[in-house]
Amino acid sequence: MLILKNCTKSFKKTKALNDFSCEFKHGIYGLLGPNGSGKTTMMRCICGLLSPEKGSIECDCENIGYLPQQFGAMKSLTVYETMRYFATLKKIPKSNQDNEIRYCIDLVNLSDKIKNKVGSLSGGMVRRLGIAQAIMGNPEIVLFDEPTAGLDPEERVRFKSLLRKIKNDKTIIISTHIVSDVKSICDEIVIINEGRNVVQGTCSDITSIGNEKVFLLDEEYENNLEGNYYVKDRISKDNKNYIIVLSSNFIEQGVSINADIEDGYLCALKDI
Amino acid sequence: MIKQNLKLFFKTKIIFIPVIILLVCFLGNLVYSCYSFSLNNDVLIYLKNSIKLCLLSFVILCFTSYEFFYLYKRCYIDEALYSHKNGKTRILTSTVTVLLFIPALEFFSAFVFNFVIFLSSGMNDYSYLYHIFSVLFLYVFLGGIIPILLGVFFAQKTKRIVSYALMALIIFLVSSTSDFIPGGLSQVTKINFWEAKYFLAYILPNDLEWYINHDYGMYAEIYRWNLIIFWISLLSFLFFKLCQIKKTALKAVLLSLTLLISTFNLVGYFYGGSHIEKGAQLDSISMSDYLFYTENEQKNQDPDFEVTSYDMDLSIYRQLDAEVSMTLSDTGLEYYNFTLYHGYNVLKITDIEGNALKYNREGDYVTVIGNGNLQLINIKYSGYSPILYSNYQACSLPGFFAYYPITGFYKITGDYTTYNPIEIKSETEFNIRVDSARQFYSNLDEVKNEKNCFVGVTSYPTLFSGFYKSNSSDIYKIYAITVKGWGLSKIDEEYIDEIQKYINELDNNSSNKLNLKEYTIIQTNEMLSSNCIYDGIFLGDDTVFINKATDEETKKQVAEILLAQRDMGYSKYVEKAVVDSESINDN
Repeated sequence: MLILKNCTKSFKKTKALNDFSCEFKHGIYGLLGPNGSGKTTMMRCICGLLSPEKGSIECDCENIGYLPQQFGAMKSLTVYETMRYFATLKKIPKSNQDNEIRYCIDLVNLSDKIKNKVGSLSGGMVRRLGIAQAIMGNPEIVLFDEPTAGLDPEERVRFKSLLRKIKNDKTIIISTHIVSDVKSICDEIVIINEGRNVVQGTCSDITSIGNEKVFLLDEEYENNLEGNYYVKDRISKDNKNYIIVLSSNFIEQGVSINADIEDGYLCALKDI
Repeated sequence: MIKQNLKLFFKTKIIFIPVIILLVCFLGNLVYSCYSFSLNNDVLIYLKNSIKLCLLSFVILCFTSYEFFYLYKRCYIDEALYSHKNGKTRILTSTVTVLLFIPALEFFSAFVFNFVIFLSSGMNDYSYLYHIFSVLFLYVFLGGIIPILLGVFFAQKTKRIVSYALMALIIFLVSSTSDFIPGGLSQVTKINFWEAKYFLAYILPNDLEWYINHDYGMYAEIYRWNLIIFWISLLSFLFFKLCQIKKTALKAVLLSLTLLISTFNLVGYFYGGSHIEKGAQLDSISMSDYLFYTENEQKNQDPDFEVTSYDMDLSIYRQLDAEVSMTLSDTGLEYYNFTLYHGYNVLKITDIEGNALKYNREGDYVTVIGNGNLQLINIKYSGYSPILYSNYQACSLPGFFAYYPITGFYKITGDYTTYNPIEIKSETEFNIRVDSARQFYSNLDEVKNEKNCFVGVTSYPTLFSGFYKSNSSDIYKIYAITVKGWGLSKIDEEYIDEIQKYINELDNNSSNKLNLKEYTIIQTNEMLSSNCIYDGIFLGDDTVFINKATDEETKKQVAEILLAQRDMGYSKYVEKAVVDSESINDN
């Protein structure tokens, strides 16, 4: 169980976390928010890299795995040596280290690179190495800060299956601004904006925020729109231009379409 | 973690290669100095050479430490590492530990080499081994910790270009290349900027161009320990601040402790103590004394009273702290004049009952104003002379130097190149107790079963310690310098016998034969030789300072000088010798 209570963290005049409160139980949580919304600051606070000025973080475990947004490794070390370095830091007993390293390396599909120097790995491979070090030692809380950035589609799929494999009795928090990444794997989603917890709920809860607020309409009606709305997309069909609009008001000229999680996220974010 | 960081250290070329270069240079210097030793047979020169590369070590350790800590940042692995429980603390401490292996290795190898040199020299003064250990530990090991901690701090707190600029500035200020700054500023502003310079520079052994005093050893006075420990503890304080120590109580203890140690040592450094300060030339008086005597006139005035006995309690650690009680021959005088070297600050002067007496201090001269019935004067003073040192390392206080209040006014320096031995005409009873960790020697008799307590009647109560040992035989009372040095051989019975033989041959005075058996024979140290005693030979009423001559002609000359001093007195002999040498030069 991880509870953040009224956490505030500022950098100069900017409040990266602004009275942020949230509760995480076992499961996979997606942390959604635009760039600069406070996702990374929140993760850094959880793992102790930063201390909130106000509020508290209650955590009933000490073992936290963390993949930072920018992860690199010492180029002169091999994949195995890097993992060994982390295994020692995590105080994994020496007798278990080898098995643990090989297991995690296998999970991220780097077994054939185990003896390669980190300097020879591609960006995506280094990212996978970062994922491996984060999950090593079976931490109770795992924080992934934009884990899929730089991964190819096949590896993204592999990452999702990895999460399903390791999720038992764990709290996994994935920070991202790519909505599609979280919808298939997250049990719950937290939407964060300007350092505040905007909304927290399951995928269907978030999706339902967009229900009856998504409309497809001819582009020529755009200028007639009133109230709080957001043009999500523009599409062309049969030489005609359409827009997909999120609006809190019913649009008579448009056709109401089914909302997806992205629509819910945008509605929550734009307060529609 | 240490093992993992050690592996990382060996695998990272930018860190590893400079260290290898440093170690090769350091070991190469130790090996090459063995060759020099085979020529000069001087163990102290070898020790001096061993610490010659401390600046290079400082530069490379600073760079290596910075790069090692910056590596975590540069590789973007720092967040992943520091996010673990006590991650930052463990990474920082283990990396510092790995880096500490470098000065430790330098220290160990230098100690082993010096130990072998010590054994091969055939010396039997084992206190010299402690000296080797302390000098190497101070400059090589402790001195090596400072750049490591500097590197940690800069890598964590400043950008790369700023860090390199600051490190270069520190290295420049620490090294002697920046000597022109305090020199120039002091001349222009008339403010002494050297103290500010020393505050950084004394973390390195930057006095290596000075000649060596074999009774003193290398310069490792307490205030230098204070300075180095101050910097280490201050940087450790910053280091612990950087560490993410979760236990606030532990962090508070560590921070308070390091701050306390640094404050204590800072106070210790500014408290100072006896240290050697050289002059413009090798054989000139110290620069501060030169400046003092150009502005303060010296006097010559015989005393109109005598001190019948001196009771002296001396404490010699950082400097000389003395309490001297003098019983006076004449109780009703208006003034009592004494000469006491100006480096000793008079703290209090009282009579027999402890009542404060009025006195006047002008440079080397103290005039105590009588109270009509003054039987005893008690003077408390403390300080040091930069040439006739008195500290934990060594002590060189010949009886002809005003380290105690000598009745009358005398000139301490003749010209500006040497300190004049004061010729004292009357013998007095002395009772001296020295509180010191070191063994002291004197021309006075040592009280049995009491360490460093001396009693007797003499004109020249001489005290000395350092690398001296008694080399006395049944016939002669000899104190010789134990450290083997270039052109420095230990005086012994055989040598004194040879000098005595020449004296017997040359001595025409049948009524007052010069017999060295009746004297305490002390081997002259380099400071006395070059700054106090002409030709390094002085004949007092019961003390002889003498150097070891190696060839027969010089031995004969030693005998001639001793006889001349007996017949003419020291000062007249020096006057004649100077005139003779000038006329030889003119011819």
